[in-house]
Amino acid sequence: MNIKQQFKEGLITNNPVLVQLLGMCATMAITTSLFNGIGMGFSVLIILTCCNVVISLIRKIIPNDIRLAIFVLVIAGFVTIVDLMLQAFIPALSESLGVFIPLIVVNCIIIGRAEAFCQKNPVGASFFDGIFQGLGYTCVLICMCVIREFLGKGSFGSGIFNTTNGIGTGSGIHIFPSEYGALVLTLPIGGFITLGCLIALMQYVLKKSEKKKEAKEKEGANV
Amino acid sequence: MTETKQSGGGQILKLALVLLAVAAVIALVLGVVNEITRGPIEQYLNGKRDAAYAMVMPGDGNTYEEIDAGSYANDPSNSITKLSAAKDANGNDIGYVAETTFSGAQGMITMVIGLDNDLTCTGIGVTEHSETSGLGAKAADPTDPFPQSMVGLTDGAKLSKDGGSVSAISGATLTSRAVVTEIQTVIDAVKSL
Repeated sequence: MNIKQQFKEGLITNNPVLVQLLGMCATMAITTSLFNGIGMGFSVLIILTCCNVVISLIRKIIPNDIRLAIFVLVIAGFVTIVDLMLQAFIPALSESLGVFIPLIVVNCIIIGRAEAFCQKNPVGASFFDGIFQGLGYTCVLICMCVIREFLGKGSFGSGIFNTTNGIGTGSGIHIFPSEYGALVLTLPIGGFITLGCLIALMQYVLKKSEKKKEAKEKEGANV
Repeated sequence: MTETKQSGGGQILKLALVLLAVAAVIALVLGVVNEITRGPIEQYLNGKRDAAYAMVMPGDGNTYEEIDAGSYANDPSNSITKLSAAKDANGNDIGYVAETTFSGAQGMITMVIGLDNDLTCTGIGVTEHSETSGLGAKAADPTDPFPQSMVGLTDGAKLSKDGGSVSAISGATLTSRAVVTEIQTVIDAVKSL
């Protein structure tokens, strides 16, 4: 498996959220502002990469019977480290993500990758798998944040732009007044709707590119 | 995967030791991280609490003297975690400040409540909460009308839905009711002194 293929898998063809449908809970809950989305995305990326590397390193000495217990231990350890670091050094982010940082422990993307990938692959491949799957997750979060924030509150990049009182406090760039936004999109139900649309779009794109590939192959066969 | 058919004790002991070793390494790392982050976290929380105190009791050089928890009436869930008598820089009594933790609509809300000498609310400052963003979370936004309308509440204040005069945050009756009820709890506590 080469890096290019892993990159494509993480971001598109095997995207953790849109194709594997993992880690839905946090995706719905925190994608209400760009600041949250980027923060959560990168937290997961860092945790996922660290866990992938460590699990891949110790994959040969973990007894098979207790591998899940050990995966969870490693994941919980890294999540706690990131949680404490955020509380100490980026408190605004820790506050707006709230309980969803500790909940990364049970985010199935991480245990899913550990089980499906790291325990069978060498360290290097696992490292890149973490980075690319993490990036795939982050991209989806960012898409959802931008859509929900714009339609729900009429702004872009709240928490990042127009900061008045340190990072995480800005109201963002207002494109139309927030009173005219559809509040429903900032609520969890809006998360379901947005995610549903994104998944549908992804399926459409994937099917289309598959057909193209097939057509190309046929052409190749004819010649 | 190779299924080890070794019977009994030896295998189980091996599993337990591996698990113990992994847990020990992780515990060690976490201990180090905790040591590094404890200071900044505490500093941040203190700063936040001080900011909430300053918001509900304006003025420089205020001092706060904690009142013994046994000497006032708390509600059944002991929602008042700390009640202090406030004095201004010249030593005059200017009222009371309570740190409270109570149930909101989604989770616990931690809030600082100020009262003046006439038991009129001088303001609230939410320091921790997990209310719904766009609805209940407005209670924690000092620029929103709801927390501002808490200033001036007196004994017996209720939401307009419950027969009082306070307008709730629309779509967040539970949060609004919890906040108003908590102010009443603090008023009752100070009355019982």
